[in-house]
Amino acid sequence: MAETAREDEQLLVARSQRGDVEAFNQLVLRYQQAVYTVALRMLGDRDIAADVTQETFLAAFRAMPSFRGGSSFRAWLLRIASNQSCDHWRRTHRHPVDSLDSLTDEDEPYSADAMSSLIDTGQDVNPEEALLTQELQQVIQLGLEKLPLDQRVAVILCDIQGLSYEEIAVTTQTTLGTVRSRIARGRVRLRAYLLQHRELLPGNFRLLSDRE
Amino acid sequence: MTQQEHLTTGQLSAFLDKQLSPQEQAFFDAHLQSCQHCQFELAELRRTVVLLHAMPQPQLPRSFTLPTTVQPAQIRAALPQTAPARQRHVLRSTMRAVSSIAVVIGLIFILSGLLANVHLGVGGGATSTSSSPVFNSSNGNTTGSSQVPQANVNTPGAIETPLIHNPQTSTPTASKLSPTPKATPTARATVKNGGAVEPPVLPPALDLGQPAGRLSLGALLLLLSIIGLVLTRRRYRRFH
Repeated sequence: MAETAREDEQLLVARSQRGDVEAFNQLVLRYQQAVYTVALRMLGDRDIAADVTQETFLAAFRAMPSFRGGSSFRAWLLRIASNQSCDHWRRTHRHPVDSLDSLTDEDEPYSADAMSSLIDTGQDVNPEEALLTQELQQVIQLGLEKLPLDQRVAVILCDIQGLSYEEIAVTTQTTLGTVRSRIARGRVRLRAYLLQHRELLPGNFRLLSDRE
Repeated sequence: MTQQEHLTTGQLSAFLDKQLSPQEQAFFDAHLQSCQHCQFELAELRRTVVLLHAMPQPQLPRSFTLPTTVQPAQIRAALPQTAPARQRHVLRSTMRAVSSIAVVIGLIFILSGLLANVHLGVGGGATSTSSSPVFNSSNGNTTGSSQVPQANVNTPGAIETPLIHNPQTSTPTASKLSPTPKATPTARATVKNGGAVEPPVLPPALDLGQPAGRLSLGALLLLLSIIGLVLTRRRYRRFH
């Protein structure tokens, strides 16, 4: 972030801490996309993600006085967002996350016909320009929701939001080593899930997986 | 395959994020160039990351700005908290500070009460503490206490002799002095004024001059302060 933008943000934060709603709303405008994205990728439902986003900003406004301006506001805000998301997930999912070994047919919503239609699209996709079909997006989203919460948060913050390990460590209040291992395990687990649906993966991606 | 260990998924993953330490990086480069297994694993991981990066940014359904007319009261109503955040914060900090001090004072009292019992043995009265006057546990010393008949009474805990000199503004209720159940029959010597404090005569459980009093008061203070600290602990989002 440019220096002036950071200074602007510090000013907005200070004003928000004194109860200035308009200043806080400037922060909302700046970060609502990030918060909504995290909530949606965490939870998979747009309406719920919207609720969680609103709750996050309400909670953040209330908690502004306890934000010590030294650290990153984004990390602090995303901490609230991921906490809210995890709380919501835990309230609605009492059962432990399925292990990959126990994936049943009901977890694979795509019939062979649906899959073959995707294969026939003939998209020869370059890794750098991967445009994902709706179905593939849905599978990735499902794969994210299969991750244990701590790995899910880490992967989403890193690979969806682009936070650095350091910032993720602040957001999750853990160490760099923990961040690294959660990201790694999350990616591996997600990869394994995607391989169960390898037919959905774009062209040259599938070639590699066939080697296994 | 060489005898080297393969690269861990943590290392492969961190490599993709440029998070390897220089040492790790050196080992990584050396190993990777000759290890097909790790090259494959790396490619697999990279693929997954690319897919994640390719996920589109979801469209915002609406703006989440708070209404500018929102009053703290409205937010209070919408959320479980009840006090304006700032005031609550200050109140909380004050409560915590007071509770912390109370913990310390409580512990001091308890310790002095316990130590007094240690020193006490059979003979004297209470030991000196920072909060109680200095006693000379001399038996039958009635010097200076002759002015006040009550000084001869066996009241090891009561600090009646300072009443004679009355150095401080404390209860001149010499007439209220009464013997305490304490067994040690000591009269208070005329103590120097320094440290003379005159609390009203209290039952031993509350009398700060007595070890039992300090002990119980200290315990009470400790209990209350711990409750205070627990109640004012930061309830903000615990993280898993």
